[in-house]
Amino acid sequence: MQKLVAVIALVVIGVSFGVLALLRVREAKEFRRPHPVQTYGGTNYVVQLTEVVVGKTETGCVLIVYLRLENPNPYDVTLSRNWFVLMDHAKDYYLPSTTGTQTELIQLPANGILDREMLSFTVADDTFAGAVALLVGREYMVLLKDEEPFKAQLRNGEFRSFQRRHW
Amino acid sequence: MWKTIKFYTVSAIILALGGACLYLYYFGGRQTVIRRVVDAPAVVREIQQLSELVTVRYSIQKVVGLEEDKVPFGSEKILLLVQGNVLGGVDLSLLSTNDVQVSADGVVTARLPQPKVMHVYLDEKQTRVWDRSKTWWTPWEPYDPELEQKARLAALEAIQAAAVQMGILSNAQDNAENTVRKLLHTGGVESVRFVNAGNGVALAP
Repeated sequence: MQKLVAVIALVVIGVSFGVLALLRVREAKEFRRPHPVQTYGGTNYVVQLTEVVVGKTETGCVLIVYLRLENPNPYDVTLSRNWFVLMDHAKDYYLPSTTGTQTELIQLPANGILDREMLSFTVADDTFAGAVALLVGREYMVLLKDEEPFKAQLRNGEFRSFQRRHW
Repeated sequence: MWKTIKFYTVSAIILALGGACLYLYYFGGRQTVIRRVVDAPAVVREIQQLSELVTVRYSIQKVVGLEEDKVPFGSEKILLLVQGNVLGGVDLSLLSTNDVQVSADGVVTARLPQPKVMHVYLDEKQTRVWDRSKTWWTPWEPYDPELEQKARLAALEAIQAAAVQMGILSNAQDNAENTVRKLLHTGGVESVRFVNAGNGVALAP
């Protein structure tokens, strides 16, 4: 009898872990879903979120978004970094940083792919208290974070990365 | 008669030479004053030649940690000790003729572009991995080969934020004003006044 209970318990734990793992894999797949979008001029390109990194610095919080950009056109496409506007639950808007390694223009080669394009935002401390979305094309927003508040207390210089919307 | 003429001629020549020497002694040493005409487009061109002027460098050391959530379970952590350099300055190529005004008395009033962080980079010799680990109960999860690179990029953001917090922008602005002032003084401008873009002072062309 004891053995049966132990086996049942193990099976229940195993199934629970399996279901949880499946849900998380599904969540990650949903997060990485490709989004066919358009520039303001009407040119098609494809955006895929790959990862978000959230961190704490002296001036507030930093959100780094990694994107995979694909150009299906037989000609070069130039995107302005400032088209990628971040919006939080309080309708605060943030523009990405255009200093250092991040140039103001993103050049997408003809039929080419940029595997890891980085957008960096310096945001207010309360930005992660709710949903956060990113404008990736003309009138097209992608959810970076769900409505659950981000509860982790990060120290200065501490960063965490996620490949899903729930963080 | 001939002797008298000779005497007067020689005396006249000696007097003329003496007079010339006295004139040169008193007035010859003075430099000719050239008044340069300062016009706004010339000043703008002169300043624009400085282009992206880096005026200050901050060197900052930080400890940066990055924890990466794995799919479906577990996480991987890296701790970096980084030293980075932040260069601040002003992009003077953005200066336009509307930003410079020259008054009738030769005083130049200029509105420089906003200072900005020009470049952030890590000092590779002083940057090293302090610690790297992953959750013990997910041994099947492979180490992410890009985690260190991600941590370095995050560190750049942290270092830039620290430099801004420490006042690199105001420092860059002050140094840029001093540099431009010196440049214009060399070009003959006696007085230079700077106004900030955000203080509401209008510069009429």
